[in-house]
Amino acid sequence: MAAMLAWQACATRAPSVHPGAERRSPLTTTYCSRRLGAGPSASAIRESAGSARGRGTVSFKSARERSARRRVGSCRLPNTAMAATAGAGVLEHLKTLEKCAKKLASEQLEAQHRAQVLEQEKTLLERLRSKRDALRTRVTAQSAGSLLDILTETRTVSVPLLDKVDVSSMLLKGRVKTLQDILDAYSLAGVSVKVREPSSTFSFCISTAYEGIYLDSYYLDIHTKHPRKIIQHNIPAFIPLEQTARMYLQNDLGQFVDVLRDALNAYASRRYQVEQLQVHHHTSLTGQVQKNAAYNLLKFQCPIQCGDMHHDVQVKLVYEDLACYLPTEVTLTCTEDSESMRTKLESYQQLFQNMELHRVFNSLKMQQEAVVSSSCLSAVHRSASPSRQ
Amino acid sequence: MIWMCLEMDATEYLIKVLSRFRISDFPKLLKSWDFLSASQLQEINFKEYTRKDLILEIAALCEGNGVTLNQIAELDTIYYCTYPQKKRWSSYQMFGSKGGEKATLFDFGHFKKTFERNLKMLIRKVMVNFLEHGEAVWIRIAWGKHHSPPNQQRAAYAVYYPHTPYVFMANIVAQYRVYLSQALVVATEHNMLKELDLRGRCLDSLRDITLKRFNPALSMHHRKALQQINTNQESVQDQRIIIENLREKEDAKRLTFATFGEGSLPKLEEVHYRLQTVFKDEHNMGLLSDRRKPFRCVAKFSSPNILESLRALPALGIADVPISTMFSSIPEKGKNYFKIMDKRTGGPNTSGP
Repeated sequence: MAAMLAWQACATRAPSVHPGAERRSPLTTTYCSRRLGAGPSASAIRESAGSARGRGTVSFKSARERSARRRVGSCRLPNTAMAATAGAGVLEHLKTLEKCAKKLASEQLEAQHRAQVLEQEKTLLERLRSKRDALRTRVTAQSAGSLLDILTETRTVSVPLLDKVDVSSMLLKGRVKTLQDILDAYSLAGVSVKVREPSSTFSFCISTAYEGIYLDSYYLDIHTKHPRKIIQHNIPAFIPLEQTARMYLQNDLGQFVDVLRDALNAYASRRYQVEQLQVHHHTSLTGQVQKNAAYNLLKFQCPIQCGDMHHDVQVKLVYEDLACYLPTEVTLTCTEDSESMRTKLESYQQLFQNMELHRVFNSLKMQQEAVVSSSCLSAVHRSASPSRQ
Repeated sequence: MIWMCLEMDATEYLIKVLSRFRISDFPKLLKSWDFLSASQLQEINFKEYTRKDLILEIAALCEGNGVTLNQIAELDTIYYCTYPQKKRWSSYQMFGSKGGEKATLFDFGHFKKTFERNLKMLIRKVMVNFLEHGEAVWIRIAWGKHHSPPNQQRAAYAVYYPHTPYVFMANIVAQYRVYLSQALVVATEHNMLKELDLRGRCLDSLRDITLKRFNPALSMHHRKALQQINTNQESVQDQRIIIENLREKEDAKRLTFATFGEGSLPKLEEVHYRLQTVFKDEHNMGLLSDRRKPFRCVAKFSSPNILESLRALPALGIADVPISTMFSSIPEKGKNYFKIMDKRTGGPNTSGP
């Protein structure tokens, strides 16, 4: 009650009643406000508390506050508790400070404990690693001795007795896992195998891809016990499957699959090139692209600019080798036969021979745009220069 | 005046072709025909007219656009491309290919020109139409005699798969087959053409059997799906039902799936066995067994899908397991017309030409 009155008195009058308190209180108030960033109410209440209880209380409280604050660090005092009655507010304040302090202390202890455990685990790890290295050197050095003998020598009581069967099964599992990893790597590269019943028949799946995009998959069922036989497949007809089988299937299965994979990937890439051309550059072609099922004979017409005129040029691309994705032969025919046209045709021929089909048209488009922009610039320049004069 | 009946008006023929269509076919097939313009097609309201009126309307429009017999023949080919099961197809294989690598560079334009030129050298009055449909080249030939124009109603169809030596033909008389084979063999740079013992109505199945192709999506994923379905069914069934001979049934199923495969089988309509074996009968007092002449007989099995039905036989208990090689060799050897002779004269499953 007295504190309440004192507070009200403080609020109406100018701050600081007691000279001692006055001397100290501005410091404490400034200290309070600087440290906690609390509002004027907090400082007023502290002041009033100090004036109500006397200097000692103020000093005690402020000292306690300071030490608590040092320990709290980032602990924020709830302003809502302060907004209640002054005495109760202080007690609450002290209680919360105490709680914060306890929490921090417990956290610190926990962290210390965890660091200790980590240290212990690290030392254990080091010990085991050194042991493993020692065993490894022993095993590699002692190639004649069996693994089992070494294990029985170094056996401690905690390690259970390893049966010969267990050891061999674990070794087998390890080997199977490495082989499985190799198979997985191969399947990413495009060839995957599965076992079918009866157990000597394997299903090969060749997945084609071009520039990181996966395209179709083709399947083959091969009976691998001699004489090897293809049971069924869904490879398109233009891939010379029988010829390749005659050459490689009986002797070298890997080579057979490689040849097929090259041919299928090249076919997929040629088809992708034509599709890209048709999707992105159909405006630069007059009419459709004539193609055959193997996509190795392509004919189309495109207009080429020579001077000011556009002439239609008939382009014929032949891919003789089934495993190639760049044409082996490029023929360009045009009705007009002038010197400039011929040089242009030669340059185009070089382009078609060395780059993939859709890229050729990409580069042509960029060239055209460059020409257009440069001509625009020159036109602008020309229009600008007379004005300068 | 018999020859007058063979000559046909373009409109008349068009109406005959259109009469085969179903109402649902009209928009699709007319669009792929690409003869009527898009605006004209939009004008026709396919749902409003009766079938007869619709046909007359379309015929009038086409006549207005000036349709020729060639274009109508193209429409006819498009119709049979969509419904190849309406014809009975026989398979042929070409031999003696020269130039192995050049064969892969198939040029459709060049093939068209060579084929038509060769055929017209052999028989003058023919009308030939070509259509590229998927991987195959469809050739429609209407034959005419010396003084009469080509008979459009009895046109023959040949489906050639480039890069393979296989051709399938339908509706062709033996006399004209000679001309057709000659022209084909020259145009595709082979030496001779031979008929295979494989006939049926489903063109895609015939192709799959001859090219030994299969649909992997159906066989590999099916396996897992089927197993799941089987286990589901078993769990739903009442526990009080006990299936006798479960192990035998499982064995039978396993063996038939090993021979026939698990996915969908190609569709054949019949299997023909021409037997020329000596009659053997041990049970009935050896009657008729002392004859030395072979007992000729033809056994014919027919079904909407004969391979599926053969695969289902052991599970039903009708046939013994493992299933007879006479049935399992149908997809293997790629034929459904067999000639079986005695071991003395030849092997048990030799088939003559």
